[in-house]
Amino acid sequence: MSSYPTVFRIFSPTDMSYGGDELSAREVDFLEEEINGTSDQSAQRYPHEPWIAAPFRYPIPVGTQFQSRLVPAGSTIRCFYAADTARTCAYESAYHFMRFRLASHTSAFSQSYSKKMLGSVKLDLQDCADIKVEDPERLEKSDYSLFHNWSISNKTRRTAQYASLRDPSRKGYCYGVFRIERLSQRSEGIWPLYLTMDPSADQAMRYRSDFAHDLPEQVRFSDVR
Amino acid sequence: MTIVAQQRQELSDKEKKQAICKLMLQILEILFDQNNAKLALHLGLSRSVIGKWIRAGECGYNVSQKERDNDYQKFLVLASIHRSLYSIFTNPKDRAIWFYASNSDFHGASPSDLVKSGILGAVTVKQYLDYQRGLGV
Repeated sequence: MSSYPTVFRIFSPTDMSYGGDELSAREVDFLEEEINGTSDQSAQRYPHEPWIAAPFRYPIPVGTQFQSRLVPAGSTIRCFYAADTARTCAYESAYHFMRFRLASHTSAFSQSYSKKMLGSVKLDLQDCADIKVEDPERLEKSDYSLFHNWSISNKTRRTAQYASLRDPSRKGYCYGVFRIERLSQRSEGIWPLYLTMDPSADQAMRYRSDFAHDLPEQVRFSDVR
Repeated sequence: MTIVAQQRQELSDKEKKQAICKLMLQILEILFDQNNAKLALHLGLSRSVIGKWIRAGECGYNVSQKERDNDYQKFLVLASIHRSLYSIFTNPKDRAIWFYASNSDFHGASPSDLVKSGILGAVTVKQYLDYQRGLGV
């Protein structure tokens, strides 16, 4: 029997709408196609809302030096990541946001907010695999080898769930969705939120949202890395 | 009632070249401080070529050619970098700050250094930003 929980993902609001006031919709379409190598056929194949379809629609030809939790370096596996609560989603995203900002050796970044969107979508958990980590306390958060071994050895994978290693409560769950059919085509809800590095702490960031609740206000890099 | 999906009319070659030129002007403003020479250096083109395209309001790339030349490919990679930065940083100034800052993920080189080094360096920066945008839950 299947269950259909609502899951959450943070994404950039401008991901699918490159351009500006100077460009018409037709020009933006043309430039998107040129830059991404996608076409209308691809849009027809994925009738889902753009933020849901993005990880499947846009090939990310990452080099061998990059990897993600369930996708080994150099792999062509496409995966939509989500979490069971907005809070767990926020902790997971905070790590990647800070990791990216701190890799740049500059203090010149403005303190203005990076606007993101928190989206929620229904997920079909039929045949969902549960990846167990025997001893989460001893597992390096950035050691993805256990997860990669699972992805490589499970060719018929559809969905996987695993305990979030970055949510300090240790109660959150993450999902890796390999088949877009497992996701509803429409959002349950989308809320704007804002991320910024915390000016009062060296390696910490803040979330602010007028609409999404239950987000951690401040996240320290040491808590999530 | 029959609903017929309307497809947007495809741009003519001239309109495509104009769209690319508009995009080039945006990139010039955000990443290169309106400096044609800096943009030319990153694309491996001469400054006069960039100036000529901007004055004409359309780029000189052959946009209908299937086998695109290397210059156009590199422009598309730079456009993709710009697009990703547009998506990641709300403040336009932060996009340029990131582009020129030394970065530990590139062994201390800046993204700008990598783009200037050639197409492989530019693709590395593009892939890095694609990766950043695809990560996280």
